Amino acid sequence: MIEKQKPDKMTIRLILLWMVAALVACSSGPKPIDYGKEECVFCKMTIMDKQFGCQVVNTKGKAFNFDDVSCLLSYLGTTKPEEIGAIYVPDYTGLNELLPAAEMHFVKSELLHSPMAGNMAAFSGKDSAQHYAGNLKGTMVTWENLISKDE
Amino acid sequence: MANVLFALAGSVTAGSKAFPTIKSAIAAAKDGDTVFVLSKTYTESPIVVNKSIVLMGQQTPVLDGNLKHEIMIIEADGVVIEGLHFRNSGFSGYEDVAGLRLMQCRDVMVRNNRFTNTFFGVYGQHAVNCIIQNNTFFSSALDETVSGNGIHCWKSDSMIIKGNRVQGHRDGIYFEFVTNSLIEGNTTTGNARYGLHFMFSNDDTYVNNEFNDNGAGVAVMYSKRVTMLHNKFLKNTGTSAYGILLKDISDSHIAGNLFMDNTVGIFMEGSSRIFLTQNQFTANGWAMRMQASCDDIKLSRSNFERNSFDVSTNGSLVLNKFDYNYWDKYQGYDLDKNGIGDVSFRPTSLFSMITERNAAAMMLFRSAIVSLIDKAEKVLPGITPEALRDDKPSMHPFKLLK
Repeated sequence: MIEKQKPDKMTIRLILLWMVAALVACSSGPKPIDYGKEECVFCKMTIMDKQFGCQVVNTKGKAFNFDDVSCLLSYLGTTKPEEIGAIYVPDYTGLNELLPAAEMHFVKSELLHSPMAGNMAAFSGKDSAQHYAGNLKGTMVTWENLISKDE
Repeated sequence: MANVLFALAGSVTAGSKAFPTIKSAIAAAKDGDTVFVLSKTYTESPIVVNKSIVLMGQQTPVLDGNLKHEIMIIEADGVVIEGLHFRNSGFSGYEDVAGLRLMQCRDVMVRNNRFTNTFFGVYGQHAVNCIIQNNTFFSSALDETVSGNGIHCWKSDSMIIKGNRVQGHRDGIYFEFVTNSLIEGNTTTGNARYGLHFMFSNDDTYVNNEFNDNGAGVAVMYSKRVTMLHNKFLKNTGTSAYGILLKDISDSHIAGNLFMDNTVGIFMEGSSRIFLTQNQFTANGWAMRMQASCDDIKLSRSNFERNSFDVSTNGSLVLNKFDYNYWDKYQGYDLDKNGIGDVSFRPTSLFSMITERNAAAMMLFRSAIVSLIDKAEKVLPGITPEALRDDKPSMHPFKLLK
């Protein structure tokens, strides 16, 4: 006779823990860039500058890192739009945390000296973008402008 | 005429009782004068040089920026800066603070100076026909991502960068939009990113430089007509380190260089019409990685010795020509004794093609099965590009290095 065996509490806990861990691993959002070690997917340069390092996360959750928004735009031009999950750019001011590109305000100025001479900085606040556009003798650009120009 | 000029030229001494500061001495000087700077520590930066004068340090006086300021800015033509020690410039995330800035000037000479812990060492900005010679740059920035470049030139022309030593910066020497310039006899070691970094800079030459143990080697990108002669690319190791990274380079010459102990000697992408000759590739992981996006590359009379892989590529179409090279992996014969092997050599192994597609396959390197499939591929090439071969491999290494 076969005895019906109930799974013990420990096993259930382990399974639950595993599921939570799996969920965390799947979580969306930017992945940290290893500055000074990783190379730009497009131009192969080592990514050093936290003010310009940016990221594309594809629909499978794989992160592609770039050292300049211009490299990211060139990469978008060579990739199918349906494969792109999210695009993150750093806030030029403050802690340079990676934020969704569509919500950012961009300033274009030669005085920015970005790694690949894309010379675009992103700001989360419109006020600070305007402030820097004035200081750097630059122009304000929206994300839509940038991607439409690339196509 | 020269005598008259010489007679007219006076001198002013900074650090003396009459002129205790460099600024006051410059204010008192006229075009063509020499300002002698006595051996002291001066903390009056930023110092603006707006006259065509010679600024000559006696026993290396120290100009200290107190970690706050740019130290000196040159705004006049024909200035000479010699024998000064620039120390502790400011550091900034938003501005490129320099030890010495050459701002829209020409015919400036900067020689025999020391730069310690400057964010950017010398910063040329719209500089023309300037000479930067025999200076030493040493930075010990704690966070390597916030250090600046040793010698940085932007939108400049006809610059001569000669005999400098750069250590501990982000890029040793950095050129962006710099044309018709010469980089000769410099040594860059232990910089966080590149020993030398060229971007959008056409018609430049670099000769007899040594690039040793920099974070990622040397990068030459988006430039035309670059000449690289007799340089040494040594010990650039790491996953994204290259002796030289060539990206979108055309119409260039690479001759007489030594590539030794690098992860990759030359990595080439999107480049065309490059002539490589008489280079020595020794003990690199890959001597050359040539992406399929390259065309019209000619590789001739070079030595390939003790490299794990000689040439690898990621495509099957080959529009490049290899001939008369010496490959230590060549196992052919020379029956007519003319010094040229009678059968052609394929420098690309099957396994290097596999690792090009899947880097993790590297863990199988030097296993029995890998040598077996490499041997099988040599006999019956199926995957490696048929056209990637040296039809005239040399039987003996060339004597290339002095």
